[in-house]
Amino acid sequence: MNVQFLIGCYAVICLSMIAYNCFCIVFFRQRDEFVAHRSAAFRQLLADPDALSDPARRRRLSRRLRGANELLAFEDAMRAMRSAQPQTFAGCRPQAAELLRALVPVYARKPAMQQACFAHVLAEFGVPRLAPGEELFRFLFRLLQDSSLYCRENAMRALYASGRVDMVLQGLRVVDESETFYNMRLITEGLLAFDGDREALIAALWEALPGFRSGTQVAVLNFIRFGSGNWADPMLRLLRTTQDTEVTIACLRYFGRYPSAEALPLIRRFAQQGEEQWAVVAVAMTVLASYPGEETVELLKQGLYSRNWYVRSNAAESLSRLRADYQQLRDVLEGPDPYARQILRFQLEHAMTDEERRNAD
Amino acid sequence: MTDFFRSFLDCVNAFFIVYLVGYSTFLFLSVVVGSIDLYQSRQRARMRNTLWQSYYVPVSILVPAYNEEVTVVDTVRSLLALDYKLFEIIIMDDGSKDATSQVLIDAFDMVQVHRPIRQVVPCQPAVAVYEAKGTRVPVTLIRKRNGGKADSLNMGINCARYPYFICMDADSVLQYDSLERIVRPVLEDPNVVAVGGSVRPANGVVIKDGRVKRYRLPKNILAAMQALEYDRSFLAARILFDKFNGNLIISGAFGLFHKSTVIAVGGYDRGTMGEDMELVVKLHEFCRANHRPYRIRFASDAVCWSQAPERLRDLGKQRKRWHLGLFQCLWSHRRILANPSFGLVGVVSYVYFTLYELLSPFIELFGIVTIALSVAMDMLNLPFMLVFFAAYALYGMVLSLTAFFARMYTIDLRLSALDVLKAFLLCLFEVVFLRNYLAFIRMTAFIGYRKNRLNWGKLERKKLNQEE
Repeated sequence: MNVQFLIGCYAVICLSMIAYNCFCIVFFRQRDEFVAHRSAAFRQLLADPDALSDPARRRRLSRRLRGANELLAFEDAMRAMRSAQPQTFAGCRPQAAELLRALVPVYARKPAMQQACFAHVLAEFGVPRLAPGEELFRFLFRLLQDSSLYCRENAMRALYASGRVDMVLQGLRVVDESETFYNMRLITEGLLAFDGDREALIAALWEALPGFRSGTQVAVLNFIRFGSGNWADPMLRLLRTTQDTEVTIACLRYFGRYPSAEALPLIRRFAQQGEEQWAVVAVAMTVLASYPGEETVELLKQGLYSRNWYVRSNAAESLSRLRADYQQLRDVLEGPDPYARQILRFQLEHAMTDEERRNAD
Repeated sequence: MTDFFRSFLDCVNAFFIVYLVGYSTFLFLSVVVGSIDLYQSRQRARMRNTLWQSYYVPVSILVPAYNEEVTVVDTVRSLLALDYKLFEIIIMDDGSKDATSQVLIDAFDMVQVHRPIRQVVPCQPAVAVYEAKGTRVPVTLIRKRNGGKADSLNMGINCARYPYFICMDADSVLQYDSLERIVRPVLEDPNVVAVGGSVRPANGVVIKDGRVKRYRLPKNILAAMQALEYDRSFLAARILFDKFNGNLIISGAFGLFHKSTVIAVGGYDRGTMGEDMELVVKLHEFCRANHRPYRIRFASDAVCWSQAPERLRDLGKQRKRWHLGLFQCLWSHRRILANPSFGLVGVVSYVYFTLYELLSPFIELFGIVTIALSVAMDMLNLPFMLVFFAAYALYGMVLSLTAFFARMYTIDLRLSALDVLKAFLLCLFEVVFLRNYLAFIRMTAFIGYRKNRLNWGKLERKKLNQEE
């Protein structure tokens, strides 16, 4: 009897869930329609140049935006306006930013999901840049310590959108000191979206670099690699002194993108390291593709005889990128080492296919 | 004799009560937890809790193919349309007897290259390697000697150049945002070694460039019942297991793996039919034995559309393979069973799969034999039995519908009134008919086991997006 009762209870709960699901289907549909309707109303409102300058209307709007659905509708309307009427959007953006900044105390008390949503809206419309304020930045730094990845990510996006070097640096320090994992790819890509003076940001980050953990250092170095070619000298100094393999690799890659005659002897030295440092050697082999010359070709040919697959493969790829001619490679292509021969032959073929693909694009 | 039989029946009753209460509780928890999780995912997406920039992890997509000339070109085309920055496609033709390789070579203007292959995991040798000239992303075709699906996947691992790989079937289509979604757990947690995607039957669905243009339950009754079954068994149960890192299966139709960890465990096992489950169990075993923090995740929003069999015979073949794979895997890793050193994986997941998946057909058979004996001894309470079966069927139906509707509203698929009605009827039919048929199939799975051990178990294929 007890068992039947238990099963009965389960069935009743499940039936309730079906009813709840059906209710949700209808409710969500209506809510989406409501958001679409509100978004249209906001679009109409924002089209009026005086809409946001009238204090009474602003107060009314501010009250409305305390609800997450209204905020979503507002965001939708702003985005639609940004793509359809860029000039009107530019005109009303500063006032909209002020309006959103005033909502910080309201959203600071809401659940994490809504806070992340609010941070996204702040980032999307550059609020921290247009309407900066101590309370706003305090809110964003607090979000950076939240366990939700989306809170942290959207808060960082808002900081990048601020265009403020000091704030981004402070944010990065918070992330670096936090015990919660934050993927370094997110940092690199995020820094690249920084909406301000990139060189100034790099200068500040470089100064702060020794204080960061290894993973953050690598993320920052990768950002510098994609961001600017003006950092060869300090990068070379770091390459000479660092003991960290990942940092060494990040520095080497920089010199692959921005060739430097001064760095070449050091790159060669890395390329000739022992098998135990295969990861560094493999990257050095790739980097050498940016340094044409007889000596480079000879070094890469030595790499073809390495016992490590990645070293051999990268050396062969670099030789194909350098377009070394048959005479230069003859001793390998006709030589006794089948591994060296095969990988080089393949990379030469592969380079041709790649070129055809690029031409097709 | 009668007393003895009565005592025996009491024991059987007690056993079945415990067994069924355990199963009902599991189903109930999985559907409830699954529904809540899906609801939260939808809320997160709606509230813009998502990653906005192109934070991509480079991945190699491995497509093992055997006699797939009908579908393989469309599959590769759909992969080329994926909304993702950095990936490569590798198709491993496992010695097909049809024109699988040739249709690919013609469709993508491929040329033969002399690519050396590093054997980090064992596989049959390559016969020839081709590369596409005119595609946006690198497409590689490897023609190899026949060795089975696991062998082909190992070949793909040997050729993959990126740190993560995705395995998928040659008759499946990935949704346009599926790669972005399946790598998200990797961005969230550095200890993730594998992520399972959500597999949904593509029958009846119109998909263009990886986007669902029209969804409806398939006209074919068998495929429609599987659509409901997938939502209940695949989705809900996997979300529940995901909560305690206890998933033992990542479907071979769509899963992401950390390549070097898979290499460390020796790649796919070539001697099993359930290579997908075997690999995941091996990953659990390896990481726990080496005290390595790890997570095996399930991404319910990363969707792969795959063809469900439309004929009973094909469905039987497919499920036979699954059941044999399950047996091989559970048997070869039996030390995990109820072993507390494996945490909840050993105590909950492994026990569940052993009792309610592997042994269930035999337990059901035992129940039927007991009923027959009770009838013979005139000890059967027929009205009670009928009421019990009806209650069980109703309960199963309610759970299927709960999972189905939860799935629908959380992924924004619109259903017609006809489909809703159809879902109600099919749920009943599924509980009464399909489940019993599949129990029979699983019971007889071991017949011809040795002969078919390494077969691909091919099913009838047709082009996707075809109107029924």
